[in-house]
Amino acid sequence: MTEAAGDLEQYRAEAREWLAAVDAPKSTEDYLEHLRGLRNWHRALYEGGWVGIQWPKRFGGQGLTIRHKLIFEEELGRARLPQPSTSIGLDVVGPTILRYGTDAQRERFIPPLLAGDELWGQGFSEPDAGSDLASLRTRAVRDGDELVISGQKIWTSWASDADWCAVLARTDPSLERHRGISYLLVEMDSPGLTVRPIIHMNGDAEFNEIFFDDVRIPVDNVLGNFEEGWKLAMDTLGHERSTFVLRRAVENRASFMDIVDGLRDYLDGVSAEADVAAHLGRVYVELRTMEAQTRATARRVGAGDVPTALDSVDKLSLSETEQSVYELAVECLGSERMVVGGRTKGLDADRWTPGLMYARSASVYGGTSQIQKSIIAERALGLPKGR
Amino acid sequence: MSTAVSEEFQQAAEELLSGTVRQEEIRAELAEGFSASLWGRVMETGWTEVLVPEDFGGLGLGLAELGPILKVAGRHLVPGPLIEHATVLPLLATAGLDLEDERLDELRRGTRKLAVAGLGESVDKLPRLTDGTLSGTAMNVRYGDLADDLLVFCSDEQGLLAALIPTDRDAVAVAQRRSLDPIASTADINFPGTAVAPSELLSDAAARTLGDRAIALQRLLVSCELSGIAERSLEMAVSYAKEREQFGRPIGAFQAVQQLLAQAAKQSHGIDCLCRESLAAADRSESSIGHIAIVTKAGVAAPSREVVECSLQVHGGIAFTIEHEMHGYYTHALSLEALHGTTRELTKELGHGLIGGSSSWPEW
Repeated sequence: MTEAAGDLEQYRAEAREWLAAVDAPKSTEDYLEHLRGLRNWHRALYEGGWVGIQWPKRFGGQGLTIRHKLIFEEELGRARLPQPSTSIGLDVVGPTILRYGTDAQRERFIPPLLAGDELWGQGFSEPDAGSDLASLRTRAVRDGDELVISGQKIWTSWASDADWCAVLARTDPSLERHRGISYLLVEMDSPGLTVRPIIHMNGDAEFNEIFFDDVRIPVDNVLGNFEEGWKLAMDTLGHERSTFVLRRAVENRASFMDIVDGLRDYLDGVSAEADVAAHLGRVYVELRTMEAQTRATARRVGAGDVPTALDSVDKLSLSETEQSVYELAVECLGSERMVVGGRTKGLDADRWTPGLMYARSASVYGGTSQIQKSIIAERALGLPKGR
Repeated sequence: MSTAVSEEFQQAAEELLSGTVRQEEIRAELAEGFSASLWGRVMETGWTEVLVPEDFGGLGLGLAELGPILKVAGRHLVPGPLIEHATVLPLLATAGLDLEDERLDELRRGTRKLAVAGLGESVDKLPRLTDGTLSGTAMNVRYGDLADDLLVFCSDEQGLLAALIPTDRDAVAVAQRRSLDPIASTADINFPGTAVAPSELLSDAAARTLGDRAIALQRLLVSCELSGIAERSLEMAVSYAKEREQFGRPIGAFQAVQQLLAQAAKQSHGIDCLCRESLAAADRSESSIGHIAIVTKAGVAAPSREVVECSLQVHGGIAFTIEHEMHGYYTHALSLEALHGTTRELTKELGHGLIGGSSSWPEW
């Protein structure tokens, strides 16, 4: 299948038809059960040929293009269906293995990653290394054909359900900061590795701490060269930003239309309070701007022009837009917003208030908005290094 | 849409305008608010012919080609009714008005200038036509003082009308009003029983079609002009931040200043993307152009003004002086932001439309 307009439209029609017929994962209050449901959902999508759309066929992908992937994302959002399991493997670690892995690593890790048989986490941040990631202290010491890891990671998304984790660790302590870091692939059930979930204020246990107490991994599980980890990680973050933005923008549009649908019965077109209408219009316009931005991004990604400082522009815009969508709903909920099971104006507090709490983290995770702005200032605008 | 053609147009416009606006005699004219020499040069380019169909002697191209030119006009603060000419002339060509070739030709060459009154106004506020004479006042007509011809929206008992009349006709009283926008003059135009011939009139359906299309085109092009104003303001702020030193280093090395500029760069990128996608979408889908234009204007105007405000802030005291060109960017952005609907009016209209609309994201 090519990128010709007719072929793309046919692809969209096929996706829509498949999504209309498939059994959607059931929603559940229990977080672990929810994750298990997503794992099954991932496998269903994979068997349908909807995972790894733009990935090479020989590793289990579909060998299509980023435009096909974007079309599927749009249809998935339109059908209000969730993403395949957790996104770290597909969006972040997988592309890095594909780009920097040896053939043996690619053959070992990519097919089960795409199939949803092995889920991935990403252990970058540490208690004392957040925005200043290069100051990380987790160490990996060589012992024959093995590396012995000791230290602690934090804010690792979905680690409690992950099978593998990409870990940044210091392999040469004599080198300063980012120069001494390697990119390691660690199995989560390794002896000496413990995971402790951190409960988010919205009740989810998405984040975790990981403790490494002399965890042994084979040296074959170093991705890229020793002490090259920083380069791989930065490249990965660029990918994370651009593909994440494409998907999330679609989801935000779907959420916004749910708000509009909810409000529609409460407000009829003519008597809608002017300030509510203007607020809706304002967020709609933000989403339209984001949509235009993502089209430019899709062209950029399609042309291989990633990562660039524009990824930071996208990340910054996306977090603001996402927060605007949830703020709109919570504003409309009024005092009902804080009541469990609360409902007014066609909107459910249980969805939108925890959603806003989660959205607040959008301007922190994956590099804070302030860090994004520093990147834009230095790399896009050419300003001197800030202080 | 041809990306190559639109880039070529944009580059040619940049070359022409960046050179021309610096010429001494033009600078002297511009200090008075309008430069006849610059206007003449701009009209020679044929930019106002871009949308005119080929059958009527124009280029028969689309907004994707015209928009980038207006962006460049915004970058260089070009005064004059460029948007009025570029949007209304293509519509007049096909509207069925009986215009002498010579007059149409002069309008196209810019030797006659056109202003538009009452576009988008509610019918009860428009001048009234009774027994072939027009009475009432069109308020705050952009470039009304410079215009040789006026397209005035008016009404009779049947509904909406549009009349194209010369401003030197007896009993048309043009009263210039002082404008704080240094490059957009304005006037109130009074019609104390002005005679209008039937051949000068477009009746209800034709006037409505022309009006709806003209306001959409103008909103899109105003957005492009604003995008140029924002882009140029940001460039000036960034280069100033690299030069100006305080506390022994360029102010652009301070994170407080960097964060302001990065936010403006983010806004400028969003503005550009929205303009570009909207122009292409409007060329593709004529039936959605009204909605696209409202979204674009609402999405571009406020962030553009904010980018200019950031630039003012970064420049410090110097940019607030009448000598510094930044003040022109700010005042013109303020003026364009209110043209054909403020952001609040437009977002309100969009919100009502969404509530009355369908459950799916409106595709265009």
